[in-house]
Amino acid sequence: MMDDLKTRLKEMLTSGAIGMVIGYGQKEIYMADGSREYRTCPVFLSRDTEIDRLVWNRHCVQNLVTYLTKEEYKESGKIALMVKPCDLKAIHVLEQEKQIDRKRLFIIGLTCKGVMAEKMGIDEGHLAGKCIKCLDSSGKSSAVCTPDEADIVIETLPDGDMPPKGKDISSDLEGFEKMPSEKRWAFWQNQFLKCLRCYACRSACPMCYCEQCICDMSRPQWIDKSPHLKGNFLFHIVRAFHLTGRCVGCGECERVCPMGIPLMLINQKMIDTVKDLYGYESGKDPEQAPLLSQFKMDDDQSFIK
Amino acid sequence: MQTTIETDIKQVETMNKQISKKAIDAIISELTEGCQIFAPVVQDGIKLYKQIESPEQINWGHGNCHRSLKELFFPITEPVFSFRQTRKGIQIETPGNHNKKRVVIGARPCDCNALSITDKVFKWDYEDELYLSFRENTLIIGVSCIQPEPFCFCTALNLSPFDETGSDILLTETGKGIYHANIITEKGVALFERFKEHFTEASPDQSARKDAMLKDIVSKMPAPFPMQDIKTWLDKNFDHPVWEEIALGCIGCGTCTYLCPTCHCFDITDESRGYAGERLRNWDSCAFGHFTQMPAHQPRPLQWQRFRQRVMHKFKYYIDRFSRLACVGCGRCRSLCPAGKDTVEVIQTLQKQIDLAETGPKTNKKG
Repeated sequence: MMDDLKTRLKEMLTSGAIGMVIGYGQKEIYMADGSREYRTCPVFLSRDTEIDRLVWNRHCVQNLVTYLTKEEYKESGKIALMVKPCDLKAIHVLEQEKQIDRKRLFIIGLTCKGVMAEKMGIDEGHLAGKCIKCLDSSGKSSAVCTPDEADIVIETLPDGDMPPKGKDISSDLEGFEKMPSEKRWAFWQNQFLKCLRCYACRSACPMCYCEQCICDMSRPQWIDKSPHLKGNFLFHIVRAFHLTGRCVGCGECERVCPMGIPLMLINQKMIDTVKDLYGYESGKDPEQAPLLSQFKMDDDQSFIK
Repeated sequence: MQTTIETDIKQVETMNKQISKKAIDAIISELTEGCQIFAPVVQDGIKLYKQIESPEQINWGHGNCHRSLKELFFPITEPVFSFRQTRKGIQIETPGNHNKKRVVIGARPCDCNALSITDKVFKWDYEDELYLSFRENTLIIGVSCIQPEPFCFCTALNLSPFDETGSDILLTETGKGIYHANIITEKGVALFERFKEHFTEASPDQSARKDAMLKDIVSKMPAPFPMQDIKTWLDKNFDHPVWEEIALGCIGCGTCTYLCPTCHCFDITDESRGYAGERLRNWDSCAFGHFTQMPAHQPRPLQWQRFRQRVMHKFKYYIDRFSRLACVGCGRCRSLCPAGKDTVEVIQTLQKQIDLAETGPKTNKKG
């Protein structure tokens, strides 16, 4: 299946049908003990001779959809993109929000059995927290890219045995919510004290595409730019608000945080809240209107007091 | 390439001593009386330089802190002054926490060496009081790396995991609980004189063992890169098409710059409520889209231009200006880049360009 894909992509690059493939590849990296290791990372291929670099394994964690809205990739012609079922939801939101032109995109839909949890650059040795609810007990994925959504569907599953499952993000959140409010407050103070405001969470997020982020504005300075506790709280609260009804739970913000801040606790809470109140799931369908630009007479209004 | 430092840190002829872990702990306990002690501490699975109250808190494990030593001299956010408007006019107050005596213990040689690099810029055309007063009042006890981390590459830049530069005293664990101590600077000598009874002379055996350990560690680590050749290539190739390719994948966050022990860019911002406020300086990053944004102009609108800026600053501009590379090979950027960008890979790509230029005509077009 991967071979068919590679042949097709080579043809498409040669004929000019696509200008670039954004996918996963492996590169050899130089380790301190003199050994070489292979690391799976995004690759940007514009020559047919490079296509054989593409791989599909459990370390294909990064959500590549984030590149679609970055200035540098807008001039690359039609882009072929490797997309996991969960990443596909991000494409749907971008379509809803009119940020991408589906015609400029060739979606390589991957069939996924879960990817590894990565935190602070380290493979944690178990499945990512977001993957658990996607998999049934046999390890089969309940979410797959359908031919309607993807231009080509890769049915080959990543090689190797099923890794340990690890903890589901929802059970993490449940445990967290059982803590008394003072403890939760102390928890976040502790976490946000570490925040450097490197904005890796924002840069990795497929939904953070604003040309001018409110957090970068200096005149007026709406959000304290300084990475002190108050500024950091403001930044993360504003980010949570801006992602409500939009976050698809890809977990990139938490994966890339160099300080290991568990940002998915916040996002998952917002995802659950939106689902409970409005029955809305972000990215489920590219045709649905964004949550905050629709109104139904029977919408929950209990928050208006 | 790594020329000798020309700062006014007073180097002395290095003394070779020996000290036990127990004695180090005793010294630290005594020092906590009169000064602030900072050391690597692990909390929530993350290792940071933190102020400690007792030696038991120190994490002596291998490897670097997640954030570099620079934050103790150039904090993430720091008030430059505070202001208050009163009936008599505007009152300005400067921060008073810079004159406390401080001791850092457990810093890695790359982090210490990086300070000798940032020293240059902070005392260049303007003497940065905040940074320099922290520097002046801090004594640094470095600890050699006897087990480099997977992403370390100091040797590739001609530095050593036992490098003395930047430490006042350098400890090297040569046996269980036994440290070889190099007393390097006048500050180091002063501390040694005060706690003389805890030190013994290093035996020739111990010094030989230390040398053998270093040889063994370095033999496994990456060989030096031809940084002079790379600098010569960078001198001529600001507009080379390879830059766009090198930067592909960079998502434009500040992880590499913020974790880097030598990156030193900052932004100034005022925060006030009512009649009072503070002027703060905060870390800033050349990777950000709004970095050095002028009122009507962004000199580096695309990410690859910003990526080039960082590489150029580390491997060309800093050498032009201060005769030092602005990289110590700590490996933080390599291990934590969200998109797997790798400084070593960048250097290797540039090296390939040099080889290409030597062996054949370079292609100016992709594809």
